[in-house]
Amino acid sequence: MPPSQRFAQFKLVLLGESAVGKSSVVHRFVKNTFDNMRESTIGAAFLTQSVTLPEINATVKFEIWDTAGQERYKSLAPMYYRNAHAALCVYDITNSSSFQKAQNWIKELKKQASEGIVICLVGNKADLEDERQVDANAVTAYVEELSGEGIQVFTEECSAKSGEGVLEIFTNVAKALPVEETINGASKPSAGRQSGVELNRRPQQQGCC
Amino acid sequence: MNKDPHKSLFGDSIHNPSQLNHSLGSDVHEWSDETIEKVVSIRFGGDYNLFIRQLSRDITQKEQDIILLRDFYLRRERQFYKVCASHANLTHLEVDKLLDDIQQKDTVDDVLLDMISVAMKEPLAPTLKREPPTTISSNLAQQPDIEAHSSESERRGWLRGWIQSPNDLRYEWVRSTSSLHSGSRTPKGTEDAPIVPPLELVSMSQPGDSTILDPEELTNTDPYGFITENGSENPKRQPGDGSNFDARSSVSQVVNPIDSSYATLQEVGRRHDDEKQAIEARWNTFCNEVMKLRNERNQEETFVPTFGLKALELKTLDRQISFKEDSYLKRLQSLISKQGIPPGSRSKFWFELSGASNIRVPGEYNRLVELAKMHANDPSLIQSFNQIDLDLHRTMPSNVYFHNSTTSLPGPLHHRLKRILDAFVVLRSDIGYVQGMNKIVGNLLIADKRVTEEDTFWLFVSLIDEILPTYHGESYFSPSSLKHIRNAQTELAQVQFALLMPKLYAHLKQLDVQIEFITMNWWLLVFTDICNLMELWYRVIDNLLVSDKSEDFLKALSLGIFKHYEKKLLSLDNYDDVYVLMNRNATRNIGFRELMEITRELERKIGKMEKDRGKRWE
Ligand SMILES: Nc1nc2c(ncn2[C@@H]2O[C@H](COP(=O)(O)OP(=O)(O)O)[C@@H](O)[C@H]2O)c(=O)[nH]1
Ligand SMILES: [Mg+2]
Repeated sequence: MPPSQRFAQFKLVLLGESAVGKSSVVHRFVKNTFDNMRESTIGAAFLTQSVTLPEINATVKFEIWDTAGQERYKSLAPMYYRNAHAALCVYDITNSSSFQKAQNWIKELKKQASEGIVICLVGNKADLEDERQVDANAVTAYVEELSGEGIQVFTEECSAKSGEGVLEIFTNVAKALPVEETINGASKPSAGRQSGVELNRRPQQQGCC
Repeated sequence: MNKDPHKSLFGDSIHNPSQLNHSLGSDVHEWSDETIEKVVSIRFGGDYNLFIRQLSRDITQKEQDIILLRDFYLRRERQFYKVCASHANLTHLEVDKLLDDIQQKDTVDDVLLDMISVAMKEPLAPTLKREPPTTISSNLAQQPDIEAHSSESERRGWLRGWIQSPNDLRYEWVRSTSSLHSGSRTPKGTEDAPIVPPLELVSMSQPGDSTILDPEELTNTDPYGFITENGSENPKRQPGDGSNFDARSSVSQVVNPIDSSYATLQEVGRRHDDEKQAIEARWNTFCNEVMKLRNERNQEETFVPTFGLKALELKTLDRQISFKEDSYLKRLQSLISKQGIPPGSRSKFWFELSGASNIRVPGEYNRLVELAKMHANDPSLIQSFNQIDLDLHRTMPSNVYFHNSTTSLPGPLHHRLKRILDAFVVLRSDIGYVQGMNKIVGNLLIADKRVTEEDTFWLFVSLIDEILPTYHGESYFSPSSLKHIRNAQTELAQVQFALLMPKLYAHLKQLDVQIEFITMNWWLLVFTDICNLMELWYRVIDNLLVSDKSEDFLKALSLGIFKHYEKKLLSLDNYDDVYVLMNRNATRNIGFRELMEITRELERKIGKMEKDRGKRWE
C-alpha cells in the first residue's frame, strides 16, 4: 500500500434485529474471526477497520458502531446513526421477520439520518441456505421499488460464519462513499462530521492499515 | 435412546415440576414467625386454615413424589436385570457385583470431572481428591453451614454469629448428582446436622441443574469459573490490588480444608491473609459496637434487622444517638468503600441491604417459574421469552458454569439464569426482559454458588425495586426510564464532568468524543461489562447498596473510571483511541480501593452540587 496522504475516515453504523449476526459480521471484517460464543451487544460497541481501494489509491477507515438489536433499545439508535456516513441494515436470510425489520430501518434512516447516507441491505447467514426464508428475488424487487422512489440502496448477502461476502460489503460501501471529495477537502462528506479536519490531526495513522 | 450408560441406566427421572405448583417449599420448619405471617397474609389472604391445608397437600404431594420415584427406579431396576439376564446371561448376583464395581470406580461425579478435565485439555490437579461416593454424600449432608466457608478470624468474630443467626437468606449445601444416583442415598456423618429435605425433592425442584461444581475443582478456571488462558491465571480477572480479598484463597478453604494443597495456598496467600484479618477485625469491631447499641435500644422489639434496607437502621441509630461526626452509617459506608464487604459474608449483607429479605415470599418463586412455563406462549410475554432464549447462550460463554466448551452444552447456571429471567418476566410483565439483565443475574449467580436460586431471584428483584435509580416512580428497566437514563448521561457528560474534571472535559471535547456514548453502555449494563473483574463488580454493588443516592453513585463511578485514566486520556489525540481505551477492558488493572475512594469523593461532590442546585431553584 503506497504511503500516500490519500486517507479518509467514515462513520458506519449497523442496525437490525437482535441475533441476525451484526456483531459477527463486524468481527469477521475487523478480526477475520467467527465465534459462535459471542456475548450479546448492549448499547453499542465501537470498532475500527480500514479497507484499501487500489483503483483510486486510497485507504478508507471505518469507525464502526455496532448497535443492540432489542426492540427496547430502538430509541437509542438515533444517537448512533446521527452523523453516520454509511449504514448496514442487516437481516438474517433464515428469518423473514428480520427482513421486515431491516426495511423499517431503511425507512427510518431515510427520514432521520444525514442526507446522502450510503445504505447497504445485508442478508447474513448465507451459509444456512437450507433454512432460507427470505427469497433473493423479493429482496431485488424491494430494492428496485426503493430505487423507483429515488432511494439508492444496494444489497448483498454474506456469511459471517464462512466469511464469504463480508469484505466485499465493506469495500463496496467504501467505493460508494465520497472518498475523493473528502481527501481533496473540496467538499465535506455528506454527513456532519468533518473528516477533512480529522485528517490533519492524525498524520501518524496514514498507511498503517 | 441415549447411549450414555449412566443416563439410560439411571434415567432423566420422572419429575413433573407442575406437581410443585403451589408448594410452600421444603423448609417451612425453619421459617421465622414473621415469614410465616407474611406468607399467610400474602399467599393465603390471612387464612391460616388455607395455609395448613397447603402444608398438608405438600406433604401428601411429597409422599406421592417419593413413591413415584421409588416405583420408577424399581421398575428400571427390574427391566435392567431382565435385560442382563436375557442378553448377557447374567444372574442378579453377578449384576449386583458388576454394579458395585462400577460405583466404586466410576461414579457419575468422576465421569463429569473427567469430562471437564478434557474440556480443560489438561489433567486435573493432582491434589484433587477422588473419593468413593460415601465421602461425597457426607459432603452433601453438610448443612448450609457457612462456618466451614469462613476464615478462622470470622469463626471467632461477630460476622459468624450474625451469619448463623436465623434469617431469610438460605444457603444450599453442596449437592451432587452422584449421591442421588449411586445408591448411597442416606446421608452419613450427619451427627448434629438439622433435618434435610428429601433429596429427591430438592433435585426435582430444579430440573436441569446438574452438579454445581466448586471452581477449585477445576484447574483452568478462576474462582468464578471463567476459563483462564493456557491454564495460567488470566490477567484480566486478576484482582487489581492488594487491598481486596484474595477470592481464591478464601474460597479454597471451602473445598478440602485437609487437602494438602491447602498448605501451599496458605503460604501463597499469607500476605493477603494478614491484611484480610486486619480488615475483618475492623469489621468485627464495628459490628460489635452496632450490635451492642442496638441491643440496648431495642430490648422490647422482637425482630429488628441489624442494618436493614440500605443500612437505614443505622440512620435510625445515628438519630437516636445524635452524632454528627463519624455516624454509624458513614462508618459503614467508609468500611465498604475502603475494603468492600468480606466475601464470606457478602451474600448475607446483600440480602439485607438490598431489601431482598423483606420482599421475598417463600415458595412464590417456584410458582412464578411454573407460571412462566404455563404462559410460554402468552402474547404479552412471548417477546421477552424469545429474547431471553436468544441471549442465554450469549451470556458468559467463557464461563464453565454457563457453557461447557467440550460438549458445547449449556452449563448448570444456564438453566438457573433462564428460570430466573422467565420468572421475572412473569412477576413484572410491565418491565419484561431487557438485555443487560442477563449479565446482572449471571454475575449474581456466580457471586456465591451456595445461595439458592430462589434467593438470587429476590436479590435481583430488590436491586431493581429498591437499589437502582428510579425515574418518576418507574424502575430502572421500565420502558419509560430509558430516555431518563439517556438524559442522565447528557447531564453527566455536560454538567458534572465539565465541572468536576474541566481539563479532561476540554480535552475530550476538543477530540470530539461523545462521552455519553461511552457511559450509556456502562449504565445499561449496570457496569457489568466495564467492571468485568468479578471482584470489582461485587465491590461496586457493595457500595451501591449503601449509597445515599444511587444515581449519584453511578455518576460518580462513571467519572471515577475516567478520572483513573485521566493521564492516559490526556495523551490521546483522536477519539477512536478514547473509545477503544474506555471499552470493557478499561478496568483491567484498576485498583479497587483507589477507584472506590475516588468514586466516594466524587459522589460527595455530586451530592453537594445537586443540593446547591436545589437551593438555587427554591
Ligand atoms: N450460521 C450462521 N450463524 C451466524 C452467522 N452470523 C452470526 N451467527 C450466529 O447468530 C447468533 C447471533 O449473532 P450476533 O452476532 O450476536 O448477532 P447480533 O445480535 O445481530 O449482533 C450467534 O449465535 C451467531 O453465532 C452466520 O453467518 N452464519
Ligand atoms: Mg450484537
